[in-house]
Amino acid sequence: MKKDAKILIVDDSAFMRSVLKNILTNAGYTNFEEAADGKEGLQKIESVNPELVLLDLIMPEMLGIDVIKQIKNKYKILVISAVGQEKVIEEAKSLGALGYIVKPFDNNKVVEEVAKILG
Amino acid sequence: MELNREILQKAATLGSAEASASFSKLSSEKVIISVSEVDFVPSARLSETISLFEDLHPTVAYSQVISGIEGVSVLAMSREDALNFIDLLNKNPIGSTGVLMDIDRSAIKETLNIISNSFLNSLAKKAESQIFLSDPHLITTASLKEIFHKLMRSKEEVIVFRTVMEVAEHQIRAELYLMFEKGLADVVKEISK
Repeated sequence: MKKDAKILIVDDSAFMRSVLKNILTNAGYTNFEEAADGKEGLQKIESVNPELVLLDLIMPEMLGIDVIKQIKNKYKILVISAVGQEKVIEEAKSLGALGYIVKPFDNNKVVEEVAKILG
Repeated sequence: MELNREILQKAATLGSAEASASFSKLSSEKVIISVSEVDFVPSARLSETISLFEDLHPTVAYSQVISGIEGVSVLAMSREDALNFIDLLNKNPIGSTGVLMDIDRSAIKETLNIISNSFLNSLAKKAESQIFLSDPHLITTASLKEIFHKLMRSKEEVIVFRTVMEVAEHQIRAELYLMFEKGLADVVKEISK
């Protein structure tokens, strides 16, 4: 399992970025980048070339769903959002998200999904 | 109107249960729902519905509905309860936090985001409709009253879902309000089908 894989956390909540980083650090992951909104997230995806993007959906500047549309399956995406409405989950997955976790989540679920995607 | 009220009360009960389950998960504590109600409130009296406005320095987080129906979501806690809630989130002894730092303010906003979406996810599932909220903000009660005035001034009445939750062991109380224009009643009618 690639514990040094570069993981980009895109969430407008500094608290949530910190929570996700702590969960994954405790699971042994070491390489993180952060972005505080969709636009910054898109810029960082292109500049840091992450192996996995943890992506919130409702953010200022650019919605997560638009970020997914822009990057068109070129990157691995795990959506982590408080929005748990079925049509949104289906849309995110149909556009290329490899997983979808609804907040609030179990820490183990995050670790499991990340491990599954990174292999 | 009575049929609408009955259907909306069912929606309120389901939504409050989901919101309190999320609040419980976030705080890692047992949470009880002391109030789960819905009412049609004249828009001019909206600010009176938030009882925590009586507190001199409440912590108020706010989001706006950004799809279809007009509305807002508000989480209100007394200053002391907000500080104690941060201690629970950080797994610190109650009373450890004296001032809300930036990361704590972010945590309060994210709490509104999560619990109000839990309520809306339940509502949307039953109504086969989509309702989204904007990213949350912390605001003063004066700003919130102004927002109510601007947003709802053209509305005769507003549907107000009110959920009061308490972390039983520590008596931390949070009030969640979801307020919508009356068009919501048509959407949640589908719950009964």
